[in-house]
Amino acid sequence: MIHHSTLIFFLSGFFLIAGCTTTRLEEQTNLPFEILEGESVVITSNSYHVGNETETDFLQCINKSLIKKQKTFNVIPTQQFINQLYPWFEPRTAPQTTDDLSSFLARDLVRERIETLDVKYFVNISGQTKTNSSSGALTCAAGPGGGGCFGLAWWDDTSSYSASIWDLSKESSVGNVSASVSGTSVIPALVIPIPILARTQKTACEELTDQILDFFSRN
Amino acid sequence: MNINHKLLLLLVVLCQSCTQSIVINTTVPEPLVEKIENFNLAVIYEDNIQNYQYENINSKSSACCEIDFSDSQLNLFRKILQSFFPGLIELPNNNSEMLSNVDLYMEPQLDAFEFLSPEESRNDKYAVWLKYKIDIYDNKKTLLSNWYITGYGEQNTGSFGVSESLTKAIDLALRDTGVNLAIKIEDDFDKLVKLISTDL
Repeated sequence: MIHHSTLIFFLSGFFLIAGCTTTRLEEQTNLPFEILEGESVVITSNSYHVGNETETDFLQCINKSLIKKQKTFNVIPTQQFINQLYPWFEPRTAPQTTDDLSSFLARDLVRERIETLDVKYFVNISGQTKTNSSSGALTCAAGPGGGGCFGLAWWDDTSSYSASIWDLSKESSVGNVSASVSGTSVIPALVIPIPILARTQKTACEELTDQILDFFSRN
Repeated sequence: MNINHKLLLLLVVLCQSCTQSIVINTTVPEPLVEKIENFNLAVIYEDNIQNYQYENINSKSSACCEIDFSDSQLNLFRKILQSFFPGLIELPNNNSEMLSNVDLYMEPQLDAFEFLSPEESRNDKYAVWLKYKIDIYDNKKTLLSNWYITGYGEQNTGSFGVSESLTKAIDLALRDTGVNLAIKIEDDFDKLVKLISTDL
């Protein structure tokens, strides 16, 4: 019975601390829009040539999450779309703002391919996960008799991302959504280190996906 | 075998296991470009395009040492050039004969390959630069122009392993070379054709 209570105490503590994140969501609609069943969207991101730092695994997470959470419209996986448009959707040639859309779509072959794929919107993601501050100390030692760690370390992460929805027919942004998630991760160590991580990027991915779906459901 | 020999053997085995070796297998997709019909281009690939192997024993990088490009560069140039010129003719690099049905000869070669590791650049990225020189000759083998085509790629280490990040950065640099080559052909090919016409 004592063992069970201890286990419940530790598990509750773990989930309480691990779930200790703060989320801030924002939404802005600029123009009327509509997405019909069977039409497609593509998740895009600005190039590293313009200093964008959005992580590849975050874009993959948004792709997977959008595909999993709805069946109304198609989500063409980003890399598949890039390959279909090679060499006109590479870091050097992809449109970086809505102002670039007209010259991008001016190529007949590009426009035809986009029409074939029935792509109506680009969802342009920007942002990144940053570690703001870290503190504490953790030391580990090992000897012939065994080893262990002692101490406490913690750090704050902020995952701040926004999605701008670009309408390809209007060549303009119809709206923006954003999600910012902050959280503190802790590693207490008394012989064995127990990492209690605030999964800010994963939470931001889920929140931003819900925001995008909510945005599209309002047409 | 005495203890010194055993230690020496262990050291050799350990040192060999430290050597990082990366094989690049980049394949670029079919390019979305307009074909240039009724024009016969012959291409002669230099050795360093056909099978380039990079070796750096002095780099501070933890992912350095040996990079085998295998036929990635050859496939890249083939894919881009064939998409523009359906009748592309490939000639061996010891070819000296002039073919009557060829309008232009292209001779691409790798001019420079450089990369920066996160340790060297003090960030969390691998950055890769490629530079190619393409000599262009008319059908009398008179030099018409030199094109310099570059490619750049970068990849965060993030959730990737060290060699995977470098491989992805090289992959992006090769794809970027394809982009620049396609843009160069679209922008400057007409100028070459005019040069041939004035030559006649």
